Amino acid sequence: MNKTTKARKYNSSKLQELLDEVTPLEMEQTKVKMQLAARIEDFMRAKGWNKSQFAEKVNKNPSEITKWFSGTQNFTTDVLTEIASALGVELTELFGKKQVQVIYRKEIVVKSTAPQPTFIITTPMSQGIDADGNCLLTNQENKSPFTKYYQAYNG
Amino acid sequence: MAKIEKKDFNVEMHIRAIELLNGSLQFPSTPNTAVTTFNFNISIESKADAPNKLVFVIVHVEIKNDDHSLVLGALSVSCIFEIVNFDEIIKIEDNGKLDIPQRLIETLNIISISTTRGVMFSTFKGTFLHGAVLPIIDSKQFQIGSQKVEE
Repeated sequence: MNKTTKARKYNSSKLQELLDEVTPLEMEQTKVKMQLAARIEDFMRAKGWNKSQFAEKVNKNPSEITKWFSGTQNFTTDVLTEIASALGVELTELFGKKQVQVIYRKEIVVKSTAPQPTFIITTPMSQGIDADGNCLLTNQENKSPFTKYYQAYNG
Repeated sequence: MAKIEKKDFNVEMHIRAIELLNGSLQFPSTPNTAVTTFNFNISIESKADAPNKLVFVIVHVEIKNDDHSLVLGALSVSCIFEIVNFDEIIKIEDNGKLDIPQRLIETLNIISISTTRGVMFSTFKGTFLHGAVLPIIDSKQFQIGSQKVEE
């Protein structure tokens, strides 16, 4: 039997208290560190290297690379320059300075009127009548499968 | 693969991906009053990724009521196009800015708006925004004096 693991939402007042203690600046610092780690890992994968190979290129232990990718590392400029050099990219590219350039931007306002909804009501009579002149859809004697039993019970 | 042919250029491109970035609706405070007239604030932004030969067209649509006083819903769609002959069509100037033909911008915008119309209908189908179908937009509205935008 396959066991599926699903992410659970965890709400805790204590956890919320801790999160409330984090200032927006600290939050941003953490975000930058994590993005930087993710960018370095992306560049490493794009080169087709694994952590050990990357560690060799930057003269570090693989455990150090694991720490870098955890997103908690506070890199110095020298280390970042070394990483960028090993990866063969510009230092600024590590900070997400992608080559994506805005080439067009425009805002337009348009108006539309939705068509009024129309209702077509078809009466049951249009479905036809039986030999006795009863509507085929509304004559319960003809339609109900329980009619005979019901009559027998009451009869 | 689609080809846009004109005297001066011939673009080979295809759609790499369509992404629904955001979709939300806000039920009006007076639900019994049917909203029949909608205003659409459309924002189009195109970005180019030259090394990967990609153009991203992001369309944000904000649906408002008749007098623009209430936002009824919003939707953002990203269409990612791959321009096979990117280097031939889009010139990179000395300052690094990209010079993209106006006609290509218009074509990409038209495709993206149409795609957004479909995604929007699919998203809001069956809700009170069922009738909020994005109208057909004249391609002239996409024209601007200069297509180069500061980063």
